[in-house]
Amino acid sequence: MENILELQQVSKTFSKSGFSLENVSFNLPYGVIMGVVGENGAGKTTTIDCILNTVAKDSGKINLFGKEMSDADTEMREKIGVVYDGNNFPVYWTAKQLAKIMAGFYRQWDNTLFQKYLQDFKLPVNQKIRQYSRGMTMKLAIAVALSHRPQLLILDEATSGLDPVVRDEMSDIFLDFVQEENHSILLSSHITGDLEKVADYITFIHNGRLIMTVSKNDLVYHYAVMRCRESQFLALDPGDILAYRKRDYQIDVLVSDGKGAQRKYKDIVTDHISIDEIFLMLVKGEHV
Amino acid sequence: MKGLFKNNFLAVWTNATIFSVFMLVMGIIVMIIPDQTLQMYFTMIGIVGFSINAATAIGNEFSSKWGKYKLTLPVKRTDIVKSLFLNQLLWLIVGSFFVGIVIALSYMLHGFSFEQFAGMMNLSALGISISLFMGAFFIPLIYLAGEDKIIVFLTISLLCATGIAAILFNINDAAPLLGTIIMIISSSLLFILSYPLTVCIFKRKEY
Repeated sequence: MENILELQQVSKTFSKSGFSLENVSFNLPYGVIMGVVGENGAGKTTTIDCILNTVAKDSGKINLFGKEMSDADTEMREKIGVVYDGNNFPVYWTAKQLAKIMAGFYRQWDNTLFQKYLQDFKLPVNQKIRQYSRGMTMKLAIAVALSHRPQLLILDEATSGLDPVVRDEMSDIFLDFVQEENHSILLSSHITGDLEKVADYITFIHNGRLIMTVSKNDLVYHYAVMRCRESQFLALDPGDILAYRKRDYQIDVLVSDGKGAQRKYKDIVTDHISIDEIFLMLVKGEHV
Repeated sequence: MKGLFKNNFLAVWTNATIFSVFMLVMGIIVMIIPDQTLQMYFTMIGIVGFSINAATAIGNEFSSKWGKYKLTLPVKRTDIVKSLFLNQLLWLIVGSFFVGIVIALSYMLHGFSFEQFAGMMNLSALGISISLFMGAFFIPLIYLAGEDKIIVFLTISLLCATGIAAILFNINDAAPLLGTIIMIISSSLLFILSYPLTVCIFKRKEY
């Protein structure tokens, strides 16, 4: 499968905060939505900033559409739509003014499409962005990101802080966007529920390190948690254990093949596990 | 570049319209009352005021993520900086025209009732130089030290610009034109040199 975005061993250290993004590597194929999951400060935004060149990576390689993007690659940025958390645009603008400005930036700007999104999202054209609710500002940012017909959408915490109704609407838009096979979305969030609905792949990041990239179907259908007593835990094959957490009277063990584990360890209860729980196990759990 | 110009123009526009109303009221007074001191104040306030408006608009952009967002748009960092310098020049021209028209109308109404016409021209040159010096200091400073220090850097830039322009303006009392020429040339040069310096700073800027 061809990739729209490739990260190889990307590292970045901020001397002031001491935070480091360490050797992050993943690929985003065409036609796919990838969710990047991590707690606040895990490195999701830094990863996106490195991709978009808003911060300079220290090492590693990032290929977009098959090549590294430099500041001069304006053609490449025509094909990328970006949505950041919060106010993306000056708040003293109206949607109408924003459209005029964006038309000056993007050669492919489709004002008819933008007006359609404004109508669909019920966004007042002549009202200042300052008077928009948080949900409305995010909808506006998504409308802008889509109205120059990009191939790649990059959204950084774009759905955080939105109510479930708006988040659901956004999810539908994202799914609609990737109907075209040369379109992809990279979506960072700490709300795993959103990703569970739309993402094809999930990348877990913790403390600036990539834990793993895995297909959502694998997570949903194959990953499981075994509820073990201590004696049962000690008898487990260490190769089966991805992570474990000690509870009061049991030890929860994360396994990547729930059905296999069920067959292998018949006396141990095996449960389905949500992406949220998987993330917690990987981050807070211990490793063999 | 078209998007950047529109963006910069719109950023200044709201404040500039309010300032224009103020200047219009002042302009009417200047036209009605033939007083050279009033004309001098009007000239300085008009030319420098529009430039200050343009400079403060840079700060408005950083109240949102627009500064960072702009880097994801199909524009080069060099063009972002270039558009800011051109915007600064544009509003300097607007201010100069505004002042020029009002003073010209005043002269049309009352005739050349003052002896110091050359003095008025020198004063306009002083206003233009202060504006250029201010822009030359302020734009790189704001990218170097952070957008949250807009007010303090604008104040410092304005004070430094006024100080330097005043020193150059009075460099040779025997030949006042020499001082004016030196002032205009040096402020223009510094403004031009400030551009590559800002580009250099902005290329390293991380959001």
